[in-house]
Amino acid sequence: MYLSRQWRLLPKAGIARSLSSSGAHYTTAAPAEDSPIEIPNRIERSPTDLLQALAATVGRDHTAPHYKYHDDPFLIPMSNAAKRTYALSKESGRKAAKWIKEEHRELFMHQEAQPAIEKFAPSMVYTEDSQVEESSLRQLIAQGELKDAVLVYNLLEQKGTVISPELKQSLLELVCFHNNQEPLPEEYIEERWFMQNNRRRERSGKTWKDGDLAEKLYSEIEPKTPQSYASLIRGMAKYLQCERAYALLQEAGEKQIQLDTNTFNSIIQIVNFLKDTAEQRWQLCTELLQEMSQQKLRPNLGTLNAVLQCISTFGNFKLARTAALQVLPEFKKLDVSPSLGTYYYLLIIFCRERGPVSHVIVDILNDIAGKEFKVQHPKDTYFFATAMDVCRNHLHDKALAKKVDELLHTGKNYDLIGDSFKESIYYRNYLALLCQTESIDDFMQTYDLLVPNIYIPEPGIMEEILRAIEINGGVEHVPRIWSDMVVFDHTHRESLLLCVLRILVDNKPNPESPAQQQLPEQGAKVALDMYEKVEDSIRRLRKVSFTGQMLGDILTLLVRGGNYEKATEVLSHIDKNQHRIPGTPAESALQEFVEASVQEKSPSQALVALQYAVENNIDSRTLAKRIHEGFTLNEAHLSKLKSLVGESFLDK
Amino acid sequence: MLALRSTHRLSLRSLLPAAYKNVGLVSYSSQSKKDDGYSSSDDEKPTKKKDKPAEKETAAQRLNRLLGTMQATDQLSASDFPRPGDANRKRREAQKQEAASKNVLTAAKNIASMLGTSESDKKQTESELLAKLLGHGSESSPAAKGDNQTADASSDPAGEKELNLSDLIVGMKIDRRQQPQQDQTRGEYVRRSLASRSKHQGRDGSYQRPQRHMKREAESFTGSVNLYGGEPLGIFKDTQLPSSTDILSTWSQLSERELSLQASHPPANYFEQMVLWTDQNKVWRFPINNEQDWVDEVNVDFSEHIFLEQHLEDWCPSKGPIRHFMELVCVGLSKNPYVTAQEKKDHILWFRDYFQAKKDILKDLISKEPGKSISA
Repeated sequence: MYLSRQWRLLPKAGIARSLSSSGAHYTTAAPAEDSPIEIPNRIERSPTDLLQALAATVGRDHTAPHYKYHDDPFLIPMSNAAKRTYALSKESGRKAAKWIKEEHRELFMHQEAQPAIEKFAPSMVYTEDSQVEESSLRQLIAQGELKDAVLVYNLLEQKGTVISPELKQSLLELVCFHNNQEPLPEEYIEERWFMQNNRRRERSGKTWKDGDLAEKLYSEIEPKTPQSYASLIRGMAKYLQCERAYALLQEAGEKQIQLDTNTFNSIIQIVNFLKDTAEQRWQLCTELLQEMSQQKLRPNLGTLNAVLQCISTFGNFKLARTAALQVLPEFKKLDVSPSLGTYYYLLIIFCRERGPVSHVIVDILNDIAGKEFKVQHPKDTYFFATAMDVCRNHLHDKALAKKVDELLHTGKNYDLIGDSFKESIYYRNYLALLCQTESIDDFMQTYDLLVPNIYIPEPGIMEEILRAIEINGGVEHVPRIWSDMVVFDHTHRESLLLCVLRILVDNKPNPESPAQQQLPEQGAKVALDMYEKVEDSIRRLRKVSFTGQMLGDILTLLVRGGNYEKATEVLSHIDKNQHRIPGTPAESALQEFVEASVQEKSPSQALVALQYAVENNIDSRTLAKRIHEGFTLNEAHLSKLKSLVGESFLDK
Repeated sequence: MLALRSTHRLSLRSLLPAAYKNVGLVSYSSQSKKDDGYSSSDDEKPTKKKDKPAEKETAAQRLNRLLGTMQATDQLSASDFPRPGDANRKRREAQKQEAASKNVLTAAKNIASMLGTSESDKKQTESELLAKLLGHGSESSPAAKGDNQTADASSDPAGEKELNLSDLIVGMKIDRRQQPQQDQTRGEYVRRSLASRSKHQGRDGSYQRPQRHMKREAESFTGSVNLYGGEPLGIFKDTQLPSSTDILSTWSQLSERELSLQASHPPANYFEQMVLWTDQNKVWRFPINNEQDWVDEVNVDFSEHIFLEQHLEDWCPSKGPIRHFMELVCVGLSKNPYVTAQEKKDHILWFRDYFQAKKDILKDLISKEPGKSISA
């Protein structure tokens, strides 16, 4: 009755409201008379500006997995390994498609689209007898297709076509840049994201191909131009053929050939390979700078970073500091604004593991807080991971870490996080620092934000988190952490299992506090889960095995959580496999079990516990006493009790 | 005879079980183990010093020390893990040992009484047998060993080497006393103290890092760093230099591309995905323009597509079937968006050439059908 009346009233009210509001609408649109309309100038937009503006409105959703993962609950990655595998499988699917496109090119020759999409067509194949011209070589060089460019160049050579010196020069640059090795194709974005530091490891030694195509091309260019010198020097410096690069630079100097700033930068970068001691390196570095100054070359950001890189290799801490503090004002005077890479070098110069503590990061952050950076230098992507590492290991300062994190999330700075490897280092340090310095509730907020979609803690960090929980007495978080550990596949780490159990057992839940009311049952669930997991893993021949301690803790938790039935199962497991399980459960675990047996009125189980205690030389007196007092035992049980602890005990 | 016997005594077979038993016994004893582990064990050194050459002593000393440390490690690993059933095993073993030693004692006595004639002979054989059987760890028979030594040393100088070793083995009881410090070499002392320190730390579960950290923090606080306020290097005096351009254009393009790749990540939403595809030229570029990427038709007016009759004017008759046919062709072509204006023109001109070639046939046909005419 009441409802129906409401229904009837509703539309009327709605209409009335809309009528009254519509009248008001028109009155607000009164034109302002005396302000002339100014039409702004047209701003030229690039094809992607609009899309990028739209993309900027989409923040990162912490509750969802990354966009690249298939939107299906079954396919949401839940461990670091899975993240990597899924992303790379997707990419390898793309690779397979590409392979088929190239392999069965005759099927893809049709051009449906207007204008034609070249990416979807099979790429040109150049063979020994294909008709090539200079223009195709020019196009290939512009596209950066090293292999094809070299092939076409060879074909042109064979045919005796004259190649213009300017084209030859760009080919030389291309070959020098890639060291005549095919680079990873641009579109394999996931592969690059997960590649880690393989490339850097590769680069620790000389990889320049001596006497290869680059040098052949170089020798063909006569007379030698500054460009040809520059490209060969840069190529050799990039691939660490240091001695020869430096020799070439000197040769160019003798011949009065004017080089450019970037070429000098490339040599300054490898000064540490040319000289051994800090003093010598610094001397050579300043000499090179002098030379640049004489040649009236204006240094740029690359010079600044190269000099700082050279300084960062000094073993002599004091010299490194003073040198860095001289270089910075010098470049400030020259109006060279530093990039994140510059700050990265400063951090590694000032914050050394063995040097004194330096708070240079405070000054750096004061300098750059709130700024947005673009990538300007290859080392720019190293800044955030290193800064967080300094915050954690060098200064141990939470406030600084938060500032760094704020900077990371300013504007598009997140693009400079680097790759997955650096990102995980960053978050590893961040979380580890927070869990040591923040209260457990604050920390769990951050944890909820980051885990699991942005970062999945490694087992070591998990242990730190558990330790923080233990110290702060936040036992109510343990079940949550445990479920995360199960998901992240950390359950085969014995130390983590022990840690979880220890926290649950040592912090007896307080039934008064509302947060911990569920805890006994949850603890029992965790224990049971763990028991089953470990049993499972034994069957699968993985490395975890029970220890007596572990089983004792599981037993305690099951008893506390009121799961007596399972507790008896665990006890019988302990009893049966005595000889396989190293260590024994704690005495208190058995006591709690016996106590529970008294409650449940099952003397036979209590006697099993007692028998186990006697056999394993655990103090059985209190257990026996409790059994004797707690039950009214029948003959069989009584005689068993006697046989276990002796006649004398009962007389007392 | 005695020498022979002593070489027997040397054989490892007799040696090892003895040492083993020693270890076993020791490991169950509740003495504190750690300290002992690092002290070398040669309690007989003072006695040996009196009558043995110095170099051999040092050899013995070294071996003893080595064995001492060896046993220490054994001990640790054995006692590390209390295993269930230990208590039982321990008890059983103790009983067994007791029984065994009783048996051995009586057996040795029997043999001695069978062999020897005089009381002293009997005693000696018995003690020798026992020494061999029970091992040198049994602390109950120092007298027997003492006897052995003196007897051996006095009787046969040729067997001195073996004797020495045998002494050594006899002396292989584990010394549980702290060894006086001054006997260690400096290097050894350092090494051991280092080792023990690391052990300590390992046990406590505290690792070195935080400690070092604390110390460092206390020792120096450098405060803030004035990054740009220092004395400049003073190499570049002219700050108004024109910025130098890269002389290598291809190189700078390549390095720019590499740099941008370093800051590019897998797309995080659909818009970024679109950005990526746009950059790869896989989708239309914004702003959307129907004539995007038209190369050959850019400067062609729409009228050239639609008004095609102009191409008929100079050759086609103004009326008649051919004109009719060609007008239909023009209508069809003007509605076709898939061919270029040039292609349309070529198509029409093809018909012109065709009709030109068939002119004679056409004329014949038309003359057969009067009333219709064609003008060429």
